[in-house]
Amino acid sequence: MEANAASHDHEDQDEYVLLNLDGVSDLIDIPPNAKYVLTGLDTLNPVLIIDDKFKLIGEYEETIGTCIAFTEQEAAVVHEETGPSEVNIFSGTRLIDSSQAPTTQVKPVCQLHKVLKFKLSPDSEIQNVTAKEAK
Amino acid sequence: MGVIKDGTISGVLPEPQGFMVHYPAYPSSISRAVDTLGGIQAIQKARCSKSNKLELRFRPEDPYSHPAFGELRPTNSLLLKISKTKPPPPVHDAEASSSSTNGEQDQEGSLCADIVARFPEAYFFYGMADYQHVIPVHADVARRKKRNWSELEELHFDKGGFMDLDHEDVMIIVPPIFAPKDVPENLVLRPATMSSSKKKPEEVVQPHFEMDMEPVLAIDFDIKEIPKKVNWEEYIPQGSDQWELQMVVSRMFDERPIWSKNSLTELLLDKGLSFSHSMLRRLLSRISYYFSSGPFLRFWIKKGYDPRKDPNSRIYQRIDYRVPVPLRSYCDAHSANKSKHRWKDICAFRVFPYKFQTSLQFFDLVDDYIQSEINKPPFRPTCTSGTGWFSQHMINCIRQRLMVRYLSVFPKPGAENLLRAATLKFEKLKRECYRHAMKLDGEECQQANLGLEENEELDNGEDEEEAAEGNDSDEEWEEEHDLAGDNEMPLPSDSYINFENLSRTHLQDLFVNFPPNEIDCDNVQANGSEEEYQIYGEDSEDNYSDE
Repeated sequence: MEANAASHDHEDQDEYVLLNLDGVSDLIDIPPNAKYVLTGLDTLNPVLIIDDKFKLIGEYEETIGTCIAFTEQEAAVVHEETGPSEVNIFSGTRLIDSSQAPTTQVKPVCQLHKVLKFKLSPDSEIQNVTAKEAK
Repeated sequence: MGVIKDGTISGVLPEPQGFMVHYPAYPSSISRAVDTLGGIQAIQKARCSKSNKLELRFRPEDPYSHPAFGELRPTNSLLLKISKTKPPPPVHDAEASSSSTNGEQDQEGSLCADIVARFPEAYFFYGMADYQHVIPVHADVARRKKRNWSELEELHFDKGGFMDLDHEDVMIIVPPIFAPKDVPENLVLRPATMSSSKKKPEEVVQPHFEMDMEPVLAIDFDIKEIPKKVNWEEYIPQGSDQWELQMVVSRMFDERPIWSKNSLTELLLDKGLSFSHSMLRRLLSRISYYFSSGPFLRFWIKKGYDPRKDPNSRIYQRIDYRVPVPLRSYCDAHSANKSKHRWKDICAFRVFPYKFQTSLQFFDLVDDYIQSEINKPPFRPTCTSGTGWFSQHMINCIRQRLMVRYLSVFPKPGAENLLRAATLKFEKLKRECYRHAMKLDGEECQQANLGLEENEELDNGEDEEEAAEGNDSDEEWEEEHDLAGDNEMPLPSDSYINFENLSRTHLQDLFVNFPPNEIDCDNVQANGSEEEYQIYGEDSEDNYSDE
């Protein structure tokens, strides 16, 4: 956390790009906590390698309108963290309530206008070669 | 955060959480975008609801703003964050190493990138954004609310403000929703059923020939150019039925350029030819035409022949006969029975017409007086729309002659008085025509009006020729006088006495102008005509197609 805070202080500008994998979501199954390697960020067609198996080629597009990203967090956790000993009892009650009707907090993160649309690379041998090189 | 080295980064994909909103606009800020989506509370509520609908109002201050709906759909997106980091405070060793490595990189710092989020869902606005109906009152109210919100609370509770607002609310009318559907749909129209039209069996000639023909029906009498002659032999195969029929009709028009339909039809029937009405119409349309007005109204005229330029066409002019009102019950009775006379008998004055009005052609009428009059030289140099080549006097005289002839053959009692009146009128009109012709010779006039008329006509040089023709008419009159003398003996005394008793005054007038023998001659002539026609027996009636 401290390291993150430190890096946050140093950040001047943040730019966001949406990586759209809708085109390949039917073809591949992305496991949780998969490793990724993103190369060619300084080119027009970046390459994304997921879990050393799938090689995706990206192409920049502009959005129609604006993409706004929202994150969701559970409110009970916040209350639990910030409450003193007396309020803990109330927190316990809220925990019970949240289990019945879980309430989430919505928070906007950013708005962006760039989309990187990915599609599967047709040559699988290249994938293996690239994977070996990565290793 | 991983530093980008040679355009490459690596890491681990995060857990899926959060959502995207593909906002169909370019908001000035994220907070404004959140406001148009109803605020954080509304977004949370939409996230929990089952309808999966997120409302977007482009003008959230307007209570009548119609929302656009966003639909939640699964997606698979990653959020890549790229940031620039400042270099750490300079250290002597680090500074030396960095300067030796890359001076430019030292100045710019380093770029960092990382995939910070993974979104499994997103809202898409595929619906139609309804027309945003903005009323000036709404705009004012919206502006007012903004001011109230920004200003102090005291102004918000001002009575004047409330009163104004209430007053304006009365004027506000909810704008109509332009479309009941939010999402466009594809409408599949039913294909139009093609109705197949059956061709007539009589359609033998190729249609392009008849389509290229110039119009022949109901041509205006004042048209400059009449339809030209058509070489129909090129379009009809020789030896076919069409050829035979067309040849017959074509020859009839070579003999006589103008035909009435009744006369033409009966003649064709007499030749043993019988066909449908539409077939006859097509045969006639190829070689003839007719006017919609004028002295040849609805008579079929040979193509290439202009009756308006040929004075000889006067013998083919048309005249109407109308049944007197007291005798129309006779026509009503027979029209119910739908019995018909032969056209030849009608033109020969052997039968009384069944119709109120009959169109007759001069050429067809079997009457010595009419035939002698129409064969005289033309009265005028041009053909007019009203009376053609004849004067109005002559037309009136011929029409009165028709009246006398038809009333004399009326089969039921009750027409005697009408016949006598018509006869007297005819004699009077005939004398007027005769006197009119005589005055052209320059004789003295008895009335001032007639004198004026004579002066006007004398100015026209061609009238002098007609005056000379008038002399010929006088000679013919004398011939009739001689012929009438031969039939003096058969006169029945009873009818003569009745005639004399009913018209003593008229007889006295006749004595003043003409010798007494002339009266007897006229009466004897009429009786002679009757006796003469009794020789012919009535032919059997055949049905022929009427117009």
